[in-house]
Amino acid sequence: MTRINYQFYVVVVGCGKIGLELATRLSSIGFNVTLIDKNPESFEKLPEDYGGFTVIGDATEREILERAKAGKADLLIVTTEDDATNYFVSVVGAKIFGIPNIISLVNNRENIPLFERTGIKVISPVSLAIESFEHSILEGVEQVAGGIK
Amino acid sequence: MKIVIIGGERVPYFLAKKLIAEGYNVYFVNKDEALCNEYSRTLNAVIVNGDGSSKKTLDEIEIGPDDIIVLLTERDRKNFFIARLVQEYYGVRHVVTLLNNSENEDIFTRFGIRTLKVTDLIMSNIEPLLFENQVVSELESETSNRGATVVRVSIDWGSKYARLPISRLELPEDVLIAGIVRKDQYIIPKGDTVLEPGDDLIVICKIGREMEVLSHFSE
Amino acid sequence: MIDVLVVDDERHVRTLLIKMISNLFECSPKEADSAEEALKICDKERFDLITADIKLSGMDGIEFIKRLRLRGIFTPVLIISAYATPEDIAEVCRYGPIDFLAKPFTQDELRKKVKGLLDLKKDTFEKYLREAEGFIHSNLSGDLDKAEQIIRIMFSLMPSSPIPHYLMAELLEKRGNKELAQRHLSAAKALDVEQRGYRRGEEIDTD
Repeated sequence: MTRINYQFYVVVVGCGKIGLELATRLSSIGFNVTLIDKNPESFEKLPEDYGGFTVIGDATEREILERAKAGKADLLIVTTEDDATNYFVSVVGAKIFGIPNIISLVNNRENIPLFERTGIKVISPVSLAIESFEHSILEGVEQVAGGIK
Repeated sequence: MKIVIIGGERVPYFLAKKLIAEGYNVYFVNKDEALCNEYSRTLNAVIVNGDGSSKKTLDEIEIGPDDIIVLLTERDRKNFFIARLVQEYYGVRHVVTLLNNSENEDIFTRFGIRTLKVTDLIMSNIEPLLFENQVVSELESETSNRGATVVRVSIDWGSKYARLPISRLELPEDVLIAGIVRKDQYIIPKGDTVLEPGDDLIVICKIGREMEVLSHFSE
Repeated sequence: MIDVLVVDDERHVRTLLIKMISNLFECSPKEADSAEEALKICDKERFDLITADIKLSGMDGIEFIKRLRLRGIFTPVLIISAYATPEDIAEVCRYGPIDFLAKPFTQDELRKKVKGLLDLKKDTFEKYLREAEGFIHSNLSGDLDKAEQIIRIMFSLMPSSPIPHYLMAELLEKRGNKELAQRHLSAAKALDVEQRGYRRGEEIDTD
């Protein structure tokens, strides 16, 4: 893994188990991370060593994505437990904010083709164990890092 | 060809009724079981109790490319998701959706989804009212402590002033027409502005002469 | 090498700022989670730059900067905040040098702001240097006192620079306080590794 040195900006939507774990890992390997969640209490579970920003709000609203400076993001990772929300935020991130790389959690396996046909990289907790899930994120992240350099 | 209405509460009932009366084949999809039971008794439509954003539910209806899908859920993200599902999975060409937050219009348009902008519709109707109220209340606050007042006069169909230009009204002294409210517009009058039946005049006059003004216009 | 103090009550942001700044400028920033704690640290140590959030629990960022300036500390402050109102900006601009950076920010935005403030500090320092020299060499009564005030600000701007010590030595010499002058001169020479003096080079090293 190349050292990233905070040059890459990632917006993570949803501070559930997966979003929280991802944001923490990404920040520890040198990503500049902003984590968005509707519920301020969900940030209380963030570990001591998380170094990054938090934004409280509904990511399906443009204002919240703007507040998170989504337009500057190199990567958007959407991890809520509602697929309609994940899809909507992913598409707005790609088409409106022009974020070049989108990775989304898809909770219901039958929705995967829709995400993929829209050009969204999919991660699915059902079909992937959590280890390989992280692996697929890091792979995506390396592609991003490689693509920007 | 069938028309599939997904989500919503009372609007789909009347919409469905109208469409059925015109001979269309209507499907109604809703999560609310009680509502579905009610509509299955009162509507001559196919009622499906289920989650419209689930592919399983949509598969049951056997949607085809020629069908028209009407989306009435209260979440844009949900309407968007269902719209994209039916486009991608069944090749549907015509999707109409309720747009709750008008800032999302661009994203729907981008994918060829027609939108009904409820907020904009209501705003465009109340805006003239808001503006008019604002004008009148500002006029009132400007005039009240200075011996003048604001009177509102309606020009009805029988009025002798209807279709006359302002310059020929022969207004009493110290009476001024500050504005004409016509449908959605607030018109700043000039001498050659012609009054129309249905116009409301915003008139400024000296306090105590309100009755004189009203009787002048009702002659 | 620069000395930086990071003041923020949000631990995650503090962590990120320290990582980014040490990554960008080769330094190990000190941190404080409140304005009160930061003031205590500033009483003991001098910094080249301070970053502070406006919304701090307890004393807020604006009050912090005011108190800092009242103590005669003119270190540039980078205000980091999600929401700075125009009123905030107007008020705090009187306590310069300061700049604003909105959260969240990218590393590049942070680098530009920090560099801007350090450059500004260098310009200010050079301006003070010229003024102080002018006052030391003028023979009007009271000018030596004015020079002394300016030199004190220069001390707070660049604590590790030999230049204020050279100036102070010269000023004390004029006042006839030879012993103290000598001590400032030794301090200056200890800091002035290349023994350049202060009038020889145009360039002032800020790093």
